[in-house]
Formats: sequence, C-alpha cells, structure tokens
Amino acid sequence: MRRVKVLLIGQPNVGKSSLLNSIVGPKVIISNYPGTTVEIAQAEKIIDRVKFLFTDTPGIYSISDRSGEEKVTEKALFEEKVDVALIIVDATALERSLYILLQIVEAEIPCILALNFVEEAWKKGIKVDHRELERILGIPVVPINPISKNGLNELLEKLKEIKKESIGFRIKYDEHIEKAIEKISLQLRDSELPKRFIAIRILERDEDFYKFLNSEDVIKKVRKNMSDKYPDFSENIAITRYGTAAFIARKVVRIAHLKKEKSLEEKIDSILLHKIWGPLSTIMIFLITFGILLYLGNLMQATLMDSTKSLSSLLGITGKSVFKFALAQSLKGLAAGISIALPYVFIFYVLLGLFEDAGLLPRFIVNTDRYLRKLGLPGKAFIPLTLGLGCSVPATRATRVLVSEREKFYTASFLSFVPCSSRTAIIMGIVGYYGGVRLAIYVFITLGMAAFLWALAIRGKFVDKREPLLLELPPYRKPLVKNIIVKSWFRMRDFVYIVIPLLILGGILYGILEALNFTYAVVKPLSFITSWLNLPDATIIPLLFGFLQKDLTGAMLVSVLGKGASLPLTSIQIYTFGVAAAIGIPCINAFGMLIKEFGLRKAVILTFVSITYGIVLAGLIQKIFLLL
Amino acid sequence: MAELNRLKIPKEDILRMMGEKGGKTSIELVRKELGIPDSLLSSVLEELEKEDLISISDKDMELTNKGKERSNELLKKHIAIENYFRDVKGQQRAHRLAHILEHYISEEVMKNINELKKLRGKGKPLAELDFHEEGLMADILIEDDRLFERLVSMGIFLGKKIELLEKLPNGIIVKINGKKYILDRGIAKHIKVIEL
Ligand SMILES: Nc1nc2c(ncn2[C@@H]2O[C@H](COP(=O)(O)OP(=O)(O)OP(=O)(O)O)[C@@H](O)[C@H]2O)c(=O)[nH]1
Ligand SMILES: [Mg+2]
Repeated sequence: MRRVKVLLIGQPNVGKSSLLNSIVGPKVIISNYPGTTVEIAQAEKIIDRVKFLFTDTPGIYSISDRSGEEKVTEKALFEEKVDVALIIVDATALERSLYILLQIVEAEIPCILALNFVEEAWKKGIKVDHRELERILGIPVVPINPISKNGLNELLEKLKEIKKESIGFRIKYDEHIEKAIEKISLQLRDSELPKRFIAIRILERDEDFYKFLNSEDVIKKVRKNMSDKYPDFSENIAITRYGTAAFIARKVVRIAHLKKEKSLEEKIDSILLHKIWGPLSTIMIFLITFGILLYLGNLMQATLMDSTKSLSSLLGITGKSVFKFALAQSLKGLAAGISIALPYVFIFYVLLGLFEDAGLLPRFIVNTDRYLRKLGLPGKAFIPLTLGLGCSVPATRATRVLVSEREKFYTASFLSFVPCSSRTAIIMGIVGYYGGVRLAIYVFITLGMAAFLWALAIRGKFVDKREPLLLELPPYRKPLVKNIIVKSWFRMRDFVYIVIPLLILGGILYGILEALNFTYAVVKPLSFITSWLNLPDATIIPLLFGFLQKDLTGAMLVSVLGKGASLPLTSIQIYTFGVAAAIGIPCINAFGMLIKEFGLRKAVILTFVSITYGIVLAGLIQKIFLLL
Repeated sequence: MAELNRLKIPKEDILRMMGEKGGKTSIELVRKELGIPDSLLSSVLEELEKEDLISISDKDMELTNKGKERSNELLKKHIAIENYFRDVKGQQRAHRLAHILEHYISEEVMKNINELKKLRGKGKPLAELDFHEEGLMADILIEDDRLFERLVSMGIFLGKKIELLEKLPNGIIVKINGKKYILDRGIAKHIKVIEL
C-alpha cells in the first residue's frame, strides 16, 4: 500500500487541528486561541488504498522559532521526511499566511494549500480567487471548511496526486542578497535541505542552521562585507518575502468595503480590553467560575459520595485477611477518586472549554499580564497557570508557549500553588467539609500568599530579560457544544485512565501495609514532619500517598484518623493539613512531566523544594497563629 | 469611497463567468466553479434577477442584454490580469509559469519596497494616535532582527494601515488588516505612523 506522510502546518489558530479532526475523527484539542497545540499528534487513515499519515503541529507564524512549541514544528518539518506539507491558510489574512508558505516553498518541500475561513472572508467582504492563486503559486489550492467538511474530498484527491516536483513559486531577492546567498551556499555541508534555503536562514541569523556551515567565518565575512553597504539586509529579506506575499495577495484578493458598524465584538472588547473594566471583569469572571465550580462540585460530590458508599456496603467486603483489606481499601480509593475529584475535573473543563472557544483567554492574558509581570511571570504564563487549575500535567507541557527556558521553568514552579482539580477537591472535601467553607477559603488565600512569597524569594534568580508581550487576539466565536464535550472528555480521559488505576493501586498498597502492620514503620521515621506540623503521626500516610495520587489524600486521612462526621483535629490542624497537602508539585504524574520537559535534576529539585516549602510554611503559620 | 454592497463581488463573479461561457450556465456550475457559500448564493441570484441582469428558469440561468453589457465590461477588466496566465494548464506549465512570474513579481515587489523605504524615518510614535484613529505604518525601528521578522510574519508590516483601539499600561491594542493584536509598549514605541 502506498504511504503518504502529510504534515499539517500553518500560522496559529488557522484550523490545523480542526482539519485533522475532521479528516480522521476527534483526536486533538481545538480551541480559539493561538498556541493551543504544543506537541505533535499523529493519526493514520486509509482512503482508497492509500495510507495517509497525518501529523498535526503547533502553529508557527514563520520559520524562526521563538518559543518551545515552534521548535517542535520545525523539527517535524526538517528532521523527518515528509511527502507533503499541507499548509492551512486563513482566507481573512491571506497576505501573512502566504509569508510562511513562501518560506516552506523555499525549503523545497512539496506543498498543498488548504484555504480555510472562506465563508468568514465572504462575510467580511473578502473574496479570494483560489484558481488564480493556484496559477501564481504553482501548487494546488483547495478551499476547505473543517466544520462543514466541504472540500475535504477534493483535498484528499490532491494529496494523493502529489508529486515530488510540486514545488511552487520562488522569491527573488535584491542582487546583493542573491549574491550573499550564493556565497554561503558554496560553504555548506551536504544535507537533505536545499542549500539556498539554509543560506537564507543563516543570513536571517537563525542559529539553528549554523550547524550546516563548514566554518562560521564565512558568515562573519559575508556579513561584514554586506553591512557596510546594506546595514539592514536581514530585514530586507523579511521585507521582500512579505512584499511578495502582499503582492500575490493583492492579485487574488478582492475586498468590498463594507459599511463600518460597531460590531458586537467591538462592544465586548471595549469592556474586556478596557484599562480598568478589563482586569475587573476578568477577576469577576474567575470568581464566578470558582463559585460555580465549588457549588456544583459540592452538589455532585454529595450525590456521588452517597451512591458509592451504598455500593461498597452493598458488596459487604469486611474482614481481616490481607486480601479483603486491600480490596476494601482499593474500592475506597476508587470511590474517593470518582466522588471527590470527578465533579471538579469535569465541571472545570466544561467551563474552561467555553472560555477557550469563545476567544476569552487571550483577553484574560492582556488583563493579567500587568499583574503577572509583578511576580516576574510573562503574560503568556496565564495559559499554563489556568490549565493548572484542571491538572498540572498538561499545564507543565503548556509552558512550551513561553520563550526562554528560564521563563518556562519559573512558570512551571508556580504550578505548586495553583490548585489543580484534585487539590481543590481536597481543600473542599476535607477542609471545607470538616472545617467549614470559610476555612477552605483561607487555604486558597494561603496558596496565593505562598505564591507571592515564592516569587519574592526566587524571581531574581530566574527573571533577567523581559520578553515583550506580543499576541494576536482572535475574533470571538460561538462555542460549539460538541467541541467542548469532546475536549472535556480528552482532558478527563487522562484522569480516568491514569489517575483511577493509580487510586486503586494506592488503595491496595495501603491496604497491604496496614493489614501487615507496616504503616508504623513508615510513620515513625517521618514523625519529625508531623510534629513540626503539630499533627497526629499517622497523618503522614495521607500526605505521602497523596504524592502517588492526590485524590487518595482525603480518603486516607479519614481512614487513618477515624470515622464519622468529625475528625479528631482542631480547626487550625485541619487548615495546616490542607495547606501542607496543597502546596508543592502535587503528584508523581506531574513529577514525570517535569522530568520530560526539564530533565531529572531540575524536576527533583523543584519537587523537593516546593513540597518542603509547603510543609515549612504550613507549620510556621500554625505556630504564629497559636502564639497570637 | 462609494459604499459597496457585500454581494458586489459574487455578483460580478457570476456575471463574468457567464460571459466567459457565452451567456448561459446552470446554478450547479456557478456553485461549483465560484465556490460561493450556499448561504449567499440565493440572495445573490435574487438581486441579479431583480436588477434585470439575468433570467432564471428552473436550474439554468441566462444573461439579459443588460447583463451581457455588464459582463463584457467586467471581462475586459479581468483580461489585464488573465494575460499572464493565458492557456496555462497542468502542473508542469504552471510551474514554468511560476518561474517567469517570479521575475515579474520580484521587480514589482522591489519597486513597492523601494517606495516603502522612502517612508522610513518619518512619522510619530504609534501611541500618539487617538482612539480609533487610523495611521500608516511608516517605520518599524527594531534592532533585533528576529523580533522584526516575527512582527512582519504576523502581518505587522510597513505601509499597512493600523488602527489604535486601546492604550493599556502594558501595551497597545491595534487592528491591522482586520486582525487584532496587543503590542508591548516596548515594541509600540519603535513603530512610527503617519496620520492618514
Ligand atoms: N467558523 C469557523 N471556525 C473554524 C473553522 N476552522 C477552524 N475554526 C475555529 O478556529 C479555531 C482554531 O482552530 P484550531 O483547529 O484549534 O486551530 P490550530 O491551527 O490548530 O491552532 P494552534 O494549535 O493554536 O496553532 C477554533 O475555535 C475552531 O473552531 C472554519 O472553517 N470555520
Ligand atoms: Mg492546533
């Protein structure tokens, strides 16, 4: 069977992931903001005896990576052999979309252009003559709509027919630039990529491509010769490329000037992007969301709790054998996971999906940037931090949208204080349930304070150069219910497949330890921690197991300390326990993702330091409080 | 500029296409060749008929005399562009054509770019525009080549119209080619604009 490897590529938010999903079925997350996709996703589909391998990539404005997710795309583009680059282009912004297309053509990768948002363009009075475009570029151009699936069949036909020679239009630069390209081309090592392309990248100071040079002296010499006469020749390359894109766009785009009226979008933006109303409304929206989350979460939790309780008593597993005890504990773990965490996870993701698809997130970035800056965080850190309210694992991965390695790590460290849904469940389910809602709110406030102190203490080490805020604000769109549900399921899927097994496993493990009387062996050597926190020794068990899986914390606290509607703890002890359990890199899954993104050493240090910090702080607050 | 109706473009396309086909065609063919969204098509056809430019019977449509006249004008306009692409069929020839075009286009582009360069050094800082005032980007004075390239690839380019929407302490919100951006104050101060 013939295999065709197709790389979906294009500027951010043009619908790459939407196209992938519409061809192969729901596979990746779609949201209305630039920077949704931060990793490669692949999917196969056999169509008419041709096996297509589609690869979705993070959006890039141009081949000139500035942040981590853009590097991912470049790697996919240049380091693996692809048969065809499927370039998705926004018909409402043809000019700049052609910019990246022209760059890919420079790399002599066969490509096909998929023209998206054609209907949106019509509505704005923009018409793109796709046939003309096809003729000028010399590559196939197909109008598509991933939502209505129009044009997909034609696109697949074109993909099947693709030949190596389908390489389109080539830009010609100024004489002096062409000469420099030639000179550098002569000094390049052999590689899969065309020399002209590499030479242009080098002239544009893309250091990723310096490795192809025989020696870096060449570029220094060329630069020196050039910069006397043409001081801004790198700029001129970009200008020529854009000029060409603009020229082609002008040939194929016709614009009818519609009457200017204040659209709904302008009205909403005049509030959401207002100096004062913007930040205020952002805070309001967040507080309301949180309120809804806690209210509905509580409600669902209560119902689920009851039904799981009656289920486990129905099964009637009691007895003293190791097996039975382990089984009972694993059921308890499972019940805890489902009844405590699931409501918070699910409701949070539905609300998040709504905000994402409506296009609110970039507005929130604008409004929070000013305040995040004060903590030394870049504005875009808002995205990973918000995702962190759901789960720290994808949030850690989402730090890729940031520019420098330091910024990324610094931002990831704040996930120690962003309560993920499991931690919210502990705070509400333990502190709120046994100590009252007010006490739970104190814990949330303490997390905020802890983050602030953390920033004061370490920002000097991490923040050097301030990365300027530069962000596109997408149009508001009506969220599609189907997309939100699919997306929420994708995000919860990890919870169901990874977290729930861990819950059961943790339960079994604990059951065995307990039945064999081994817990004591764990409790004793670590009693210095519990005595600092002024908590009963046995509470170390839930704290420890919490690292295996946060959702075990609640169930275990109840099972080590007693039963019924009260815990043998004072309010201040419940609060201390809540703070100690909530601060820090939360669990083994988050730890694993940290290793993946930052390496073992950094992951170990951050996890250890953040957890210690939480315990020290919780103990300290308690001591101060008791003195008063 | 005269106010144009948003149906203008599809209407002209249909007239031109019908002219090319000798005055007659079917609705199905229009839909296929011009890719006009269904949501628009019926209102476009309705208007054309109301203006007495076409007559529709069942699934076929025909130009009226008045329609033929209009269609001819439109065709003439189009021929200037079409000249470059006459009788091109198939990938191979399109490819060769692209190479001829390459030179043609680069000359034009260079000419335009030289025009743009004349703008450089002129203008006032972006932040001095009033709310909802439009200006022309005359210069982007950014030292960092990579940042400059990033701005360009996002569509923030010399000679483009830019509308100021909001000034915030951390940045300026602008609209360029119908897209909205927030530009850091640090970037905005290097963008010079000429009032329109
Ligand atoms: N109305 C409309 N919306 C679309 C269309 N295609 C995509 N969208 C919307 O555009 C937004 C962005 O889509 P994505 O598929 O996430 O874009 P992407 O290119 O993968 O974006 P990044 O991963 O951030 O680079 C989503 O809100 C989609 O629902 C379309 O044809 N019509
Ligand atoms: Mg995507």
